[in-house]
Amino acid sequence: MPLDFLSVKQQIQRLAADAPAQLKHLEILRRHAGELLSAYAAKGAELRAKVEQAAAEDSFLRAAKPTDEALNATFPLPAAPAQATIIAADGSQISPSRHEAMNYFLINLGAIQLTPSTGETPTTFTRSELHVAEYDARGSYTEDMVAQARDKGERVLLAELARAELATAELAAKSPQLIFTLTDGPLELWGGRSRDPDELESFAKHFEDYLAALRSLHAAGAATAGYVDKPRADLVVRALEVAATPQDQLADMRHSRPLRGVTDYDLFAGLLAPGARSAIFALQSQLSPKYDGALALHFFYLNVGSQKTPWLARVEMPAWVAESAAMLNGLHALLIGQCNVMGILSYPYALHRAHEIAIVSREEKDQVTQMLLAEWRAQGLTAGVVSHKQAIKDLPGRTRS
Amino acid sequence: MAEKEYKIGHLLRSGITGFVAGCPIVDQEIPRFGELVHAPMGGKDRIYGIVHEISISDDGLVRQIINTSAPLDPTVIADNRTNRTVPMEISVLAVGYRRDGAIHHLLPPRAPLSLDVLYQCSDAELAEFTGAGRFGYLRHLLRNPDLPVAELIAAHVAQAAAVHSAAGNSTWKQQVSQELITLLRDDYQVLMQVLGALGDAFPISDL
Repeated sequence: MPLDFLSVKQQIQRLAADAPAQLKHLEILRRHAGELLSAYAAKGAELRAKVEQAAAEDSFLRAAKPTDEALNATFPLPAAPAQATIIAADGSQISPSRHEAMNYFLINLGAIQLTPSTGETPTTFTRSELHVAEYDARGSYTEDMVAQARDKGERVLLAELARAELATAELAAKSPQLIFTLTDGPLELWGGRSRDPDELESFAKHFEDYLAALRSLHAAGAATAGYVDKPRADLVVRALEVAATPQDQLADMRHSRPLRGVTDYDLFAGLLAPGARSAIFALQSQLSPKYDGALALHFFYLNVGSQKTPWLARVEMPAWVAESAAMLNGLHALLIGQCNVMGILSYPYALHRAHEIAIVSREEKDQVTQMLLAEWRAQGLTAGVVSHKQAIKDLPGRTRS
Repeated sequence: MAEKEYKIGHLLRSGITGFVAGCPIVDQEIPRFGELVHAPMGGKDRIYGIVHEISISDDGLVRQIINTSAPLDPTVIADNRTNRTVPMEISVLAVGYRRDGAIHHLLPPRAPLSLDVLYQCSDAELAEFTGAGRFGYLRHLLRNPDLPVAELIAAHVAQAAAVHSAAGNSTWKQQVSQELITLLRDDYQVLMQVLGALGDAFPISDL
């Protein structure tokens, strides 16, 4: 039998009936959040100190820290740099599975380098890294470990390509143009929360490499950023919750969520004109202190939508980009330009192309598996077999009765 | 004139009566509708065909990009034409083959293989193929009701006649016109279409 659609329909009707009351409550919270944003707009330093105090009490606090810009300030679309190079990278993976004949994973990195408005054909890059887990000293890998290796690989690839571009410009005795490197998703490498010592050790290694790649990009004078489409975070909202919490209750911030349900999107969607960005905020998180000095994590919200339909993205960048007017304005203008290429589905063209280059299809995965098995057999090695569970799932024909 | 003996692309699918090649989208004027091309048939043997359709597939991204009021970024155009795997498809009608140096205006004994390279024929080869025998290859063009026969013949004759004329053979055009009239004498409607298309390609006094 398929789904119990009768039951699902009843649940949908019940949820829809409850929705107006919840929306009404959420609307009250959103209005309150907006009022707090206005009230603290010019009290950035005060709020920053309070967030830092709350973070000292609870290092797991994830919140925005105001910078010198007013909390509710908006900045219109600046002029795009006369010429700039965009390098975007993305990654995808074949995840390890103990149910497959061989327990392996593959990380495929794709990148595109382009100079907007010149008509020059962009250059594309692919890098595929294969790991056969059972023949590795570690013996096994989790999906989180693979995801961290992929995210680190993207930033490392960007650093290499940025340095190569600089070297090419030097060889040609050309003054290098600004280089903007982009990835999809947050700039902060996600992880380090596991209790498994193997996973923690793996993360620590990737994290060091990741920071080294960021330092390399900084040394090369290249900008770098992470682009989060349709963000659901509540970093600024969380800072406003801190603002509204009495000083003596900051230690218990973890259990204090008076604005739960309100997102930063709700705060800024009505505030930002098309093409405008919000103020820049610093990021407070468990790992943010490790991104010190020029690497310190910052972000702003950007309205890449239209007057009629605002559409926000969160753009994360390190301090060296946030503190350089040329890099900040260049990043702002280039992202809007890249989003405009895609019409109403505004998302940076270069990032979409990097995704297209990196994606591993099901057919390619099957092909890699067959190549591995064939080579193992040719070498006289014992290749594994698919688990019975997986083999039954793979049987052709009807899968439901 | 476009460079000759140019590698057009690789075969995607093939049969005895025709084949389809994929190639990157480029700005050059090759391949052309009506062009004589060749694919390998083992050793020095070749299969000849005439390009009868050139199509470019669309995809979601291309549709999305054109659906914007902003002018298209030339870098984005270059990327889509050169880097993305949306090839131009070249459909070719088989019209003969070369075996042991001799040209035959018959269907080839076997189909070319997928990923075989499709080449544009040189002027000399075009003159040799179209000058061999008694225009037997024309029946492959004329028997296919799904093709724009009149336009295809006009395009092909215009290209071949230019090559023959440059080589000092100014009678080829009249000979091929006479042959077409003979082959189509019982099909007045198609004959009129072919003569009309040829009339658009050449001054009628030249035919």
